[in-house]
Amino acid sequence: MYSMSMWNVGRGRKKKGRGMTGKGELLHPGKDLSVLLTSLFLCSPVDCAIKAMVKHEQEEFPNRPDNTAFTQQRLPAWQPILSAGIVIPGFVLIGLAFIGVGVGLFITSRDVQVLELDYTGAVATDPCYKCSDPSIKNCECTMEFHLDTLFKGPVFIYYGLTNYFQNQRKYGISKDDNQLYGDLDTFKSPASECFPYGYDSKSKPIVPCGALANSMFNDTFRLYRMVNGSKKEVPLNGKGIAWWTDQNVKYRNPNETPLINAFNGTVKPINWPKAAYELDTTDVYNNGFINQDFLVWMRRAALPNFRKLYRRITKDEYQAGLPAGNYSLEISYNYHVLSFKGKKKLVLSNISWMGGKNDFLGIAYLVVGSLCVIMSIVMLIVYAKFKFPEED
Amino acid sequence: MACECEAVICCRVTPKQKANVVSLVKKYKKAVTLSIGDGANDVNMIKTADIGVGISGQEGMQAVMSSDYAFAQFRYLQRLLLVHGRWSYIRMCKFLRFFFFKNFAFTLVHFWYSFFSGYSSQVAYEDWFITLYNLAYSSLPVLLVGLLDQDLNDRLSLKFPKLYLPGQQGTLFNYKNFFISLFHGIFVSLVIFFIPYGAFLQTMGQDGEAPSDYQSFVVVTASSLVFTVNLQISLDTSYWTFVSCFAVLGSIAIYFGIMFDIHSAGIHVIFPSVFTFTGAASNALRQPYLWLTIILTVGLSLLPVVCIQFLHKTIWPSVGDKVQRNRRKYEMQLEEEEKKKKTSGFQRNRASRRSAYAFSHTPGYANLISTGQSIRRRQTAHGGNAGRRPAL
Repeated sequence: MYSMSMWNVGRGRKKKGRGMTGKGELLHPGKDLSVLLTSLFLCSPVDCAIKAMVKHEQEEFPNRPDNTAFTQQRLPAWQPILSAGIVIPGFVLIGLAFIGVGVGLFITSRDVQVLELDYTGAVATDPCYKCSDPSIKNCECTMEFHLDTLFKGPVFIYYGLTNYFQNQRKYGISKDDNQLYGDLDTFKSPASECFPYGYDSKSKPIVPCGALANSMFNDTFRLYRMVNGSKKEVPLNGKGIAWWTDQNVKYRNPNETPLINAFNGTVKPINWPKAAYELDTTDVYNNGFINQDFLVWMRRAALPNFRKLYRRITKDEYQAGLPAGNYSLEISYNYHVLSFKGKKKLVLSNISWMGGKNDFLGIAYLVVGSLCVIMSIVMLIVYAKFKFPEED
Repeated sequence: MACECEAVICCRVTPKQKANVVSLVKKYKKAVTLSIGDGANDVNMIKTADIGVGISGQEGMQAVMSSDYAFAQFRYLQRLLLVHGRWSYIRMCKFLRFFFFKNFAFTLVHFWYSFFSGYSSQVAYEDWFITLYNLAYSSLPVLLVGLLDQDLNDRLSLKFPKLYLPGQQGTLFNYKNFFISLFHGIFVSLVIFFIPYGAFLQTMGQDGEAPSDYQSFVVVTASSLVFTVNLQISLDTSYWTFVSCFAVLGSIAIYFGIMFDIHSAGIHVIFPSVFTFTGAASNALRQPYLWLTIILTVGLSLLPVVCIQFLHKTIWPSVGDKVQRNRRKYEMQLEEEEKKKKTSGFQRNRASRRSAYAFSHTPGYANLISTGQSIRRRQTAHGGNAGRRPAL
């Protein structure tokens, strides 16, 4: 009997311990009755009594904290530890995989052919030195080069610039995306980011506005192959040099034909020789804002020394590549870079599954792979040395 | 002199004096104090200490209402400290260290990029990525670590009280750990910037179009960062529940989901000037070269950390590491002990015997104890508490 009384007292204390007042001990008549009724009708007498008691207890402790796996931190879990059996073989495998990839990348990169021609004309002995004076307009110069072996096709021609910070922040935001999407309202009122290339000296709106468009690269190149003493032009393909999404989604011409009508009341960018609607009058899909050269320029480069695709050599007899021989490059030199110590280059390259020639990634993979293998050996030695005795 | 003793007993103290003892210890030992009590006379002491624990029971609810933690029996203090206190400390430290690391890794990439962008504070990620990085892409896994992580389960924590020492000594988060997080963040930011930098130097895409544009660069750095940060937290998690798995994979999935959405054509049509990265993700991430860049970046960020942690745990293991290594063995020992306990017949659990006395101004329930009414008399040879007169 004493034990019974103690048990009851204990239960009473537990109830109060929930941090609430003694309200919990009052029985709710309604609940009690329902418990009784269900127990009467759904179970045998002994079961009912037990069930009723259990339910009674549960309802008497409404403040009992949840006893679920989540709240009591008993969730089923996996507790891995990075033991030697996982780390050391893992490092070896990863190291070998990286070395394999590195070798693949390095060999592929070595097989890519690249030819770079610097035509800035900084030094007096350069063929294009005469054009490097900014005051001379419409200058033309010629560079000669020789190919020893077949330059495998398809050959891509890039123009490269150095020390040119297309990734400069203010330069990069200096454009009006709404104009470039063909929104005619913004033609008359360019965005404020375009300042100071939004309006010209006579306060007329510039389309397309901004420094990014204004500084478009405007040198042009013609490639000639010397065959039996005479020059034969190599046809260059200017289609498909920009991203498909740029040409078809991101930039749109305004919805007017002829295109020139949309540009009423606006002027071309200050440094451009021709207006936007005259960029390619032969092909309506290459004119205006969706001109491929313009799109290639507008795609900002990430680093100060960059290359942009100019043309591809894909036609007819040059599909297999440029055969060995002498070549001559005629350049219309319009773009001046010497004022900021930049350089201009023409680059001929073919590509592989990994893109252009870049030894860095292959070498990096090889280095990291070999470091992994070396470290796994070091870890094995350390583990063997510090092999722990049975400890408490 | 009191500090030289293992334990000090103060008797017949008033509530104010109890509080004074606690503040003495706080002031002169500069220690974190915990006081536990169950009566109204303990309220002062509970409030003065750094952590106050109230026992709900005979003496009423005043102690409970002024305390930080409350439970029903004194013996639960062991669990509070050794299990929950320890887990809480470890979780907080992991959470803080990881948060500092991931933000350093995220931010310092801009610092390195500024050397190559003309110091123009050009961001190295898309603007939307910067907004969502701390919100959606990297916060959920670390939040779950802060809530659910357990390095050892509760039974092992109770079995080895020595595991509590790191918390008292503050070894898991101090200046040294902060600087380690900082250097870890610096290292990872260097890797995340310079590996893509090397890969983007003078390269071209698979189809000749240059991928070395700013938007592709941004996609590569952002993807590497998200992968690195999420895989790093998964390496740091000791307690892998279904929720943590879901959080890590979910964060990475959300990142790719949102990125492809923002870079899609549809959203550019609606907001041309807000979402200007049209086509960047799809163009960049279909190139195997850029995926190889991402894999190398992530690998180089994570592997040194694994290696260093393994070496550290092998050469200078902490108590926690040793217990974790031999976890299976200890758990089996514990199970055997429990089986022995169960098979040895019913035993009154001594801990629940009423042997704590409360002093109050009214007689209270002291009669129950002093007359021995609440204690079952035991005739067996256990001796001890049966019929013992309590000291008053």
